Amino acid sequence: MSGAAGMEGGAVGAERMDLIAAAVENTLDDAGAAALVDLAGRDAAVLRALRLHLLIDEVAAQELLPTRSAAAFAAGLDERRRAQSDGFAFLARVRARVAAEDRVLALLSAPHAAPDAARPAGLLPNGAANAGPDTAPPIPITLLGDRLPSPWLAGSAAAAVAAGVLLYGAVGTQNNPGAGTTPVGSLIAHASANDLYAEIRRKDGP
Amino acid sequence: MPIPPDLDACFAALVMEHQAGVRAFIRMLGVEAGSVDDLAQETFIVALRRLEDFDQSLPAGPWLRGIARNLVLNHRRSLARHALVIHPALAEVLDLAIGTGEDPAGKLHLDELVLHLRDCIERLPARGRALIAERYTACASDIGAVAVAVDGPNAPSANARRQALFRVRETLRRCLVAKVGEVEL
Repeated sequence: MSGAAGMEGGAVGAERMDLIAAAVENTLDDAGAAALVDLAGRDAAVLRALRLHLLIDEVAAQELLPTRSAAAFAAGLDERRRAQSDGFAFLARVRARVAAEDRVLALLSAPHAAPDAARPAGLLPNGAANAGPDTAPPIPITLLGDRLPSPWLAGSAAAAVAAGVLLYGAVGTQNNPGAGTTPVGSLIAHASANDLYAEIRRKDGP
Repeated sequence: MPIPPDLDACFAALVMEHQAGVRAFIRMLGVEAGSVDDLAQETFIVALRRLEDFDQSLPAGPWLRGIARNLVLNHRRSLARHALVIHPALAEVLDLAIGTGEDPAGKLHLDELVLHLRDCIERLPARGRALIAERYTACASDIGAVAVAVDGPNAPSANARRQALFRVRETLRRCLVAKVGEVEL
C-alpha cells in the first residue's frame, strides 16, 4: 500500500490527510468530496488509504463503544426480526390498545352532574389543546375523587382510568418488558383532574 | 413467518461470526458511521430469508457482503437516502473499486483483518482509545466542545483533534501492516 506507507513519512500532503479525515468523520462538503474523488482517480493509493481508514474507524467503534458492540448489534437485529416476523400479532396488540382507550373514553363521557364553571380548561387526555391553559399540576389517580364534581363520577372516572391504564399497560408491555407505558398511556395515567374534567365538558357540551 | 429452531441457531451463529466483517465492509463502501448497523441488520434479515438457498459448502462472508453491497447500492439510488453515505460521488468511487473483501491470492480475508485490528486496538494507548470514543460521543462538528469538556480550556482545537485521530488510525494501520503485510482492499 504505497500511499498509506507514504503517509508515515509525510509524503502524502496535508490536504489528503484532511480530506480523508473529513470523509471518515462525515464532515466532507461537496468541494471536498470532489477533490477527494479527483485525488483517488489519479492515485489509487489514496483510495486504498481511505478504505483502510474507514475500516479502522469502524472496527475501533465496534471495539470501544458499548452501543456498537457485537451484543448490541445482535440485540438490535433480534428486535428488528421480531418486529418484522410478528406483524399480525403487533397489529392485534395495537387494535386491543385502541379498543381499551375507546372504552375508557366511553366511560368518561357518561352523563353526570353539571360541572363547576370556575374550573380552568386544560389539555385533553389525547394531548390536544383545549380552550384554556392548564395551570394545575398533575394529580395522582388516587386523589382524583377529591377534585371531581360528584362522588359517582369520581368513582367511575377513577375506575375507568385505572382499568384503562391496566389494560393499556398489559397490552403495551406484553412483548417489551420494561418499556413502560406509551405516550398515550402516560397521558391517561398522569391526567390531572382538570384534564379529565375538560374532556367530560367537551363531550357533554356547555 | 417463524423459522425452525435449528435454522434459528444456524442464523445466530452466522450473525456472531460475520457481523463485524459485514459492518466493516458496509463502512468501507462509504456509508456514514451512524447508518452502518441499520444496513448490516437489513443484510442479515435478507440473508435469513435466503438462508435455505445458501450453499453451505461455500464461504458465507462473500455471500453476505454481496447482499450488503446490493443493499447499499439500492439505498444510494434512492435520492431520499443519500444521507446514508458520506457523499454520493465518493460512495460511487468506493463501490467501483472494492471487491467483496477477499484478497486476490485468497490468503487474506476481511474477517481476519478485523481480528488483527482488534488486537491492535487492544494495544493502543489509553489516550488513543479515548480519542476514538470521544469522536462518537458528540457530533463531529462539536469535537472542539468535547475537547474543552475533556481537557479543559487548553484543549486542542477541533482541527488538532482531527489530526490526532488521524494519527491514531495511522498507528493502527501500521500495527495491521506489521501483522499481515501491506493490505490490498
